[in-house]
Amino acid sequence: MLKLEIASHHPVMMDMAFECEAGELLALVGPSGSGKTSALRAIAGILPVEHGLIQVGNQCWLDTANQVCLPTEKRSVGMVFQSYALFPHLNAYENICLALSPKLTPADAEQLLREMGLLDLQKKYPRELSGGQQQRVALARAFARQPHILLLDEAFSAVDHPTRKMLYEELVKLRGRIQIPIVMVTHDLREARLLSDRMCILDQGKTLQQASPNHILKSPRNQRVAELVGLTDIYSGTFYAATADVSPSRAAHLQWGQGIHSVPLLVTDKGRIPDATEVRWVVSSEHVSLSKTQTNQPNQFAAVVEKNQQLGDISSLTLNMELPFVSHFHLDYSTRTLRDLDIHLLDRVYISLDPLGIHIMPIYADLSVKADEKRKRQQVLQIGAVLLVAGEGKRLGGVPKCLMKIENQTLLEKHLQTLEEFTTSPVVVVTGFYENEIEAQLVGRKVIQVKNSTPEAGQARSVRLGLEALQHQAKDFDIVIMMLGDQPLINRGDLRQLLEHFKIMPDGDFLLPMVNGTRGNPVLLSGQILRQILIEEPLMTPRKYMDLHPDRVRTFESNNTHYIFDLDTPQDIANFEAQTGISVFLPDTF
Amino acid sequence: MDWQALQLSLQLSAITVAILIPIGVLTAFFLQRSSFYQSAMWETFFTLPLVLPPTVLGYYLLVAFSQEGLLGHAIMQYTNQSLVFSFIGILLASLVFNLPFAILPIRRAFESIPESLQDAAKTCGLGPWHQLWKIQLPLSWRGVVTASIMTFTHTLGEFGVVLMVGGNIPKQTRTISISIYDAMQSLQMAAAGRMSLFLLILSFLSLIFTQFFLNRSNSFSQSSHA
Repeated sequence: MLKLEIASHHPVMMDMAFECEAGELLALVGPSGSGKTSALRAIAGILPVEHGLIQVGNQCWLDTANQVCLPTEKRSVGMVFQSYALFPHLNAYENICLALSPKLTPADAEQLLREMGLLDLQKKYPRELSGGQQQRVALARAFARQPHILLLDEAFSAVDHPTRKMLYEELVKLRGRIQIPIVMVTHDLREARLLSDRMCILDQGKTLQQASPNHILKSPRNQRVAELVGLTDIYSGTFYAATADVSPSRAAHLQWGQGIHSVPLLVTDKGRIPDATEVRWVVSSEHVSLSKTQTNQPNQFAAVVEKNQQLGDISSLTLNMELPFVSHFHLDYSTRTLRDLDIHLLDRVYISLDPLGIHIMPIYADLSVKADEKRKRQQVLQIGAVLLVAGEGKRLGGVPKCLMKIENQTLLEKHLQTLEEFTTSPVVVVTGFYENEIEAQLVGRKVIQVKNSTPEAGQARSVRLGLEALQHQAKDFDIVIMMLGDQPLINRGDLRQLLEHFKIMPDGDFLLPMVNGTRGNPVLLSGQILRQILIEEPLMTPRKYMDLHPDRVRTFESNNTHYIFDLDTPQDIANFEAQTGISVFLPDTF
Repeated sequence: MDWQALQLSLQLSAITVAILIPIGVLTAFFLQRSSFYQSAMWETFFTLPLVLPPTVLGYYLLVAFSQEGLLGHAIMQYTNQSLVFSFIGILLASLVFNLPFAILPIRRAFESIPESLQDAAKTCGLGPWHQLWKIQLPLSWRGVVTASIMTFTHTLGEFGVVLMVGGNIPKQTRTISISIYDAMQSLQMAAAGRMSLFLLILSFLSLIFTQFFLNRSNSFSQSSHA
């Protein structure tokens, strides 16, 4: 078997580890520059490696820790190159004889030629052979060494399709002859799926996932793997973990899409992804079922069949989803089942996604960045918050907007609950208009109320008062959350995303959510900048400071409309009720 | 026509080629296996005779060959023979000033062998010397032939260095180009003309040979690579 572990920066960046059993065919798959060919060259000993271990069978070819490095000619490899690499001054027979193992005789070389159907061509020079014939000679030459490992470097990519199929057959035949590990580099996924027992996905010199082709296609480890194995329908959403008390069956939920249009999906929790995390997800065709009528299956959505490409037994469907945030859904479905279901072009159908088949992946980040981010995420930070609820609610006819009720809870309660989950000290609530009514709601809560006696003068004064009160708690805050009281959709997932992003930001003092070019809320700022703002002129606010120092501002680009949606006018309320089906109850008019 | 000078020139050229081509092959072989900086340094060194004025090269050779010089002194001690104004002297000089003509074409020919073929040779289990003998040399014979022709014709025509190191001694150091110079000096224009024409034709033919013969015969290394 082959065992490989490499960590090298020069001449090629490689940080990979994989294994290949004897008799097994491992396909290295990845985009150009992912290090596939370099890995192969490292095994052959053509490419120097800084640190690593390469073992083939019971031989150690490379062990940098013990200064072992066998030269290529001492490594028993059979290698087939994309460009065939036959020696042009030697004929087919001589090419094979040149690599012939000392244990074999010229008669064995002839036998090999016979098996490969090359006997008639043995006297021909490479220039007189077709591409396919040349590659067969190259395969025979690789086997002539009686290698302990066979390396195929894009070996089939330079020949036409029928020849390739023939070469596949030759390879399968030859595999039966010797039980050695075979490592194949290919950029052709179909080839990898067809020939390999296992695939190893490489990207930027790193191994991302190693498993059987089927497993990888069904359960790509992350978004990047999904992209690299050619999965086209990769959706985004927010994952909410199962809570043991509520769901002993580990049924979790995934909010498909973002913002007010998102829909919940029932999924299973494999315990790998933390609660309220932004994720990507895929679903394999076999876990999707179609019907013409609505059934009681979970995760069911209406769609219209927009395209139907029949490819024999399989029909490739393009479904136009009746969801605002996803336009198309591609599905490979059995042609026969489609016929049985009487589904045709432009029919309205219902697709059901089996919770077991929904595979959820974390968003991919570079490994070293990941480690750094993990460290930053795990830091215990002092987080403070200012909630601004001083407004008059004039456009709603004069109401304390934070006392509007949604799902039996005032916005004020909802926001405080959300904030208290993250803050390490009491939330500062800045009141102005309706301060008594709001104060009544705050009774018994551990908050600091600050009263703005001149709320009509604008928000700046409230912000300032809030920040001063926060600072007055004499805490060394790392992060300060500035939140508005009238954003009904902001939830803990939204806030967590901002906070996590702020924690791992390499630099910058402000984090501003941006949704399609619109500035959103809440805004996060560093404790350092809080102190800075407070020693500036009396009317300096974070907004003003951000305008003056745009270089300190980082944005959190998102499609999540939660950050920009507020209930400011009756129209907003009407829209909100229409889109979510949730009623908004205004507090009695004051 | 100074047949003696012609004979001496041909003799000098042939011996130079015979000694220098194996040196060129080995040097190219080692240069290919050394690091970038090392090979750049050595290649610069070997290319120097191409750009140095013959008088400069001649001067340093004279210094080295003189009895006070390291080489001249050693040869004198062992063979009791002076390198200056001798056939051995002009042969040694010829070996030095022909270094770039012998090494560079072979080096370029080695470099032009596709990397995949060199990798394939290694994965076929060939050690460095086997690679040289079985793959590199057969694939770069054209470079070796070019190097030989260049070295041969360049030796035939070299004047400055030979004159400085060897002087003008019949049968020993008077080569054909020195003989032409000599004829000119003594106003034997017809003899100078004949010898010049001979050298002109010879140079022309060898260049034609390099151009046509080498390019026409089918190249191995061009045939199989996409």
